[in-house]
Amino acid sequence: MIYTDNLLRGEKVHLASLSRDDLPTYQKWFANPEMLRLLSNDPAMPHTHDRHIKWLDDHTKPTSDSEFTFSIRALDDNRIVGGCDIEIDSWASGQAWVGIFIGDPDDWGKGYGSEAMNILIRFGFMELNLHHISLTVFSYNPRAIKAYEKVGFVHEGKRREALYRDGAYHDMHIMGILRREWLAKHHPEIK
Amino acid sequence: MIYASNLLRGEKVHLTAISKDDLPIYQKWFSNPEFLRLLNSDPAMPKTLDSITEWYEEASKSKDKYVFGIRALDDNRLLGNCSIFSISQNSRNAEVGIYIGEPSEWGKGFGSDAMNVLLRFAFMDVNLHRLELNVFSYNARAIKSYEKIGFVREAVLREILYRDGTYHDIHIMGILRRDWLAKYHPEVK
Repeated sequence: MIYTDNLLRGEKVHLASLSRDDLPTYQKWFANPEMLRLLSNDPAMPHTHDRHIKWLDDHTKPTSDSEFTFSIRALDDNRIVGGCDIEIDSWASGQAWVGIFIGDPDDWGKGYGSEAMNILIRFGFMELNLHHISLTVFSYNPRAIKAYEKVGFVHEGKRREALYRDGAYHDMHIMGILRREWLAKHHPEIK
Repeated sequence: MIYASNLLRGEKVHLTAISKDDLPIYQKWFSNPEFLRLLNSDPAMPKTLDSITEWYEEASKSKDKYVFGIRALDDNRLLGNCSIFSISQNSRNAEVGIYIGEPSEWGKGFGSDAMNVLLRFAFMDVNLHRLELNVFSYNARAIKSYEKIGFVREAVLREILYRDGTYHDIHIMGILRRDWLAKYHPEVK
């Protein structure tokens, strides 16, 4: 089989390019410290308008062949619900890191993220010819860990006390998935 | 106790700044594919002097990393390089990297000695909480030396490195300041 227009489409969301019109939505999301603290280990400092413009400029005019940044959009009304990306670490080794977020807490727990991650992984293995995909998740984000396990990611270890938040150090988990594991689960017909 | 001039000095080596005059030596190291394949996951392409100069200029300007040359205490010759980078300031975390450039200098304990000094600098001067490093599964000599220093294997990234027809693992090893202190400075509580 060959994927056609369904390559980037799921049942609830599809992956699309980013547009400058998304900027106000991004700015709203990146003002929420809860979101910021799940997304990265940087201090939860709301992002300025200029920083968003620069970021969007960088990602809407791709200059690198090793970064693929998508918006996640709902299939029903095409509204943007989040973002995800693949960053290639090594083309020679077929290794990349992925990241994903759903921006508005009202949209959490609806399965958008899991579905978008499934599509992103499909893109990584079926289009980019990757061998292994990794991600990092914080120990205090059990919802995400559960979702990644369901997608097929395996715990590969944890970086102990790599993240300071609220008086204590937390672990950063590293999860990974191999192409043969993903194929066995989603495309057992391919040997 | 307070470290003085001994802060950056070990038993066999000391850590110093690097200079432009050192760059031809770096270029010689970075022409050896065996060395390149232990250092990182990039294809083992020899480096030009221009790219080494660019790396040097970036490293000497940078405020968010610490890059040292490793020099022998006996004759001050340049043996290798080590650095602290990817610093997360609020989480007091960073990565370390180290290499001895010339294969004839491997196995003499220079790397272990330099790593011990680098950790001392990171924990006693920069006030870091945790350090980590990456090492390839086929670099048994390095893994053994890191374990001896006190690094613990925290993750095995499966098959993320292609070399010679197969995929190899990359290990992440980490060390916490309290574990380092307990081992090297038990008097500090």
